[in-house]
Amino acid sequence: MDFYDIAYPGALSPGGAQATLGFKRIFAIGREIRLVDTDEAGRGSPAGALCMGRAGEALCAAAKASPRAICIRDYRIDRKLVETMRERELTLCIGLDRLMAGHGLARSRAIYMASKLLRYAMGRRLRIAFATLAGSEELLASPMQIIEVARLLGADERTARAGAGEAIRAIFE
Amino acid sequence: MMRDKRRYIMVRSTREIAPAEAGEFEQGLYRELIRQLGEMRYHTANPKLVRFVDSRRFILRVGLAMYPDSIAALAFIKRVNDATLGLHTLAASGTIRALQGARAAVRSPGAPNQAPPSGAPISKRL
Repeated sequence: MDFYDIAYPGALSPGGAQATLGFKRIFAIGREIRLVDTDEAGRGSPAGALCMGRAGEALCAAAKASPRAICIRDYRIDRKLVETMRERELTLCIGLDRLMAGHGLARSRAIYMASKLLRYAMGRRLRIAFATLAGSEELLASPMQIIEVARLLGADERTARAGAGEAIRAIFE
Repeated sequence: MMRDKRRYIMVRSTREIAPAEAGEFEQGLYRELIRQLGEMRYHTANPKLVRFVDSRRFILRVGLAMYPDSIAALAFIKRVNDATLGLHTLAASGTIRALQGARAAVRSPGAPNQAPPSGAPISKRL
């Protein structure tokens, strides 16, 4: 099974982090996929992009504009957004950056929120992808680690492995 | 008395570890693992840095029961002894020989298993 990841260019070393860590490919934000931050004014069109933002009206509106995937930055459950994603068969990309970069109570809270979101999304049968969205090499993780963190959040083995593999690849097909 | 089953994990650090600081790094790693796993579960994992492969890679031994949690804990460790780094798990196996023979640096989980040099088992999780 091949594994994929999505990260910022700053995390990708010239030597090839993907080969070292065991990914088939790490997709670079800004190069291979456009990122639209719905929390920022003057953002581009969500169509064909990875949309990221806090759960709310802006992200919900972006979900209706045919993005490639949605990433809920604050891990909050927005039932309307999830329903829209389910109807349009959009992938929910759970970013692990807040889990990797946080510590102490902040990380515990992020794990709690992410696990609740994951559980709700699995119950609504959304396609789920797990990506590090790493901004530096330290925040990257190997496929083994992504799978175990996904299991820590409550994913079963199949969902965890698919989320680090074919679900990410499907975003880019 | 039955010996506890173990897993050997090949770990790669994003920061080079000089031979002179290997001992300090090891102690710092254990402190961070206690922080991640918790004092109550650390003894079940019973981690032990077995050896350094090179300046960035080392082999960590953990108890089989805590193997999945140890993998996640290593993903969450971003500082050891006030130095920022990332710890990436490349592969895991039940024996050190299979781990080193599998050339853990270039293998990806799920890739077809290569024939082990001495017939030693390779973890199915790879």
